[in-house]
Amino acid sequence: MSHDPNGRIDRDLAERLLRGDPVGPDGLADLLAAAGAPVSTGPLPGEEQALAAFQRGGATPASRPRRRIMIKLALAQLIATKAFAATAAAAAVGGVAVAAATGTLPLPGHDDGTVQSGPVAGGEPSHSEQPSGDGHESESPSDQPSEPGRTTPTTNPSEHPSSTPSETHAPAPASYGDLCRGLLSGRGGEISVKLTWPQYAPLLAKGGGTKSGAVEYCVKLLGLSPAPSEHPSPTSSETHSPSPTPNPSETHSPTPTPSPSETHSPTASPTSSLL
Amino acid sequence: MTISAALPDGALADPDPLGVAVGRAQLGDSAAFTVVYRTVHPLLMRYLRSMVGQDAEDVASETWLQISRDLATFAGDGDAFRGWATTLARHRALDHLRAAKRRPRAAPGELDPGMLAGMRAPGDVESALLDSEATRRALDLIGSLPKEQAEALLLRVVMDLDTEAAARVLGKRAGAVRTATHRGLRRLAAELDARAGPVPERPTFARTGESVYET
Repeated sequence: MSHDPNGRIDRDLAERLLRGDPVGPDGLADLLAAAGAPVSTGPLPGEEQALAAFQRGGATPASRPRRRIMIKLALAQLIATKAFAATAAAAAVGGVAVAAATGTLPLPGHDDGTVQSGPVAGGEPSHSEQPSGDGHESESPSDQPSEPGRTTPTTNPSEHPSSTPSETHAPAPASYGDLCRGLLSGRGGEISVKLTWPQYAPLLAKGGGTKSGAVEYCVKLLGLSPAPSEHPSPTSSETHSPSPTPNPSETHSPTPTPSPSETHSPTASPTSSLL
Repeated sequence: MTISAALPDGALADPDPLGVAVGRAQLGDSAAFTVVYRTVHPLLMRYLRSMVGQDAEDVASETWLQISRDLATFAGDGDAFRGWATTLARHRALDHLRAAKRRPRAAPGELDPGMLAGMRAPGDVESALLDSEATRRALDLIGSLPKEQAEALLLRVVMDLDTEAAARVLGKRAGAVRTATHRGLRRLAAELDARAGPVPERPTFARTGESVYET
């Protein structure tokens, strides 16, 4: 144990401490553990309010029926033409709107037509608060599921959105989400080609054996369209269209009331470019 | 099941319950949203208490309204969600501090955007509700550090962000965050050393820290 606090905590030791290893000067690891101690579960202050806000606006699938159709068209065309990665299509289809609709996709930023412009989650208080704040962290795309740990790609939505938290220990639903993200992310090549890879075979199975079926499945799974009937749609339908820009309009206002005017978004015409 | 074979072992051993819950919430699942809230809100409160003191609850509430509104546009896993939520909370906190600065106060100098842990009333309801005494003492001591060090440490230790994610939240380079956290750790070690023992039981803990390490 070091008792020379000015000299003995080198970079390695510091990183170990920050990872939670019980090393270093007396009490320091304990202090950090206490600061990051697990939180108790159970109802919390503000929970009802937040939940009400969630149910009012935000992520209700019913709030984007139109985009769902667009996405389906776009992806169907992708399969048909076997020509474009999802991100390229997103740009071709009108960029911003589709990018937002596919908001659950970790779009890569390396290719042309990327719609994730701008800095990621910058520190400027008044600047964009791009939701995909961790695009860099998910550098290991889901179609290369070889790096567990912090950069493990999204284990996301649920094949069984039956909403029981205790189900979260089951890896399978999340892994379908991973696969779908990998498939639709635009990384690794064309969707139709990727669907010939063994790792995406489960998606083909889910899609009834067809590529378009697999894409359809993923579109639903990732929330690009309402999950079939498991979710009674919240009553509010179009009260708030999730901001379709990847860079949601300066959200800096401390009283974030969903603005109906957001429906003016670039969804206006992109379908025409598809047809 | 074939799907399991496609995954690395780590993915099975280390599921991402928060990421799953976020994904379900994005599908409209209210119960999943509740899981997200209960997982992240207490952490945000720890962080925000250091940022804005007793106003943390208000700032957290604003943050959650924004999260609810923009959740559909979020992309990423559980780690990414914590980073995103932290970014939103931080911006709301800085807004709050700016607004507070414009209001007449007894000691406007205290409102420098940064660590205001000292303003927190001892009987803070929220902390009593959510955190153990040991956690509060630890947060008080971290909050007594220079603000850059304190915030970097809070993002790493409380919000459980890695250096790169913390750097994005703070708008700094990873190296700067690393330096700040390491300096903060050294200060904490020195402080603990000066107290000749682990986290002391004295209730005046944080204040003593402040007097030693004023920014």
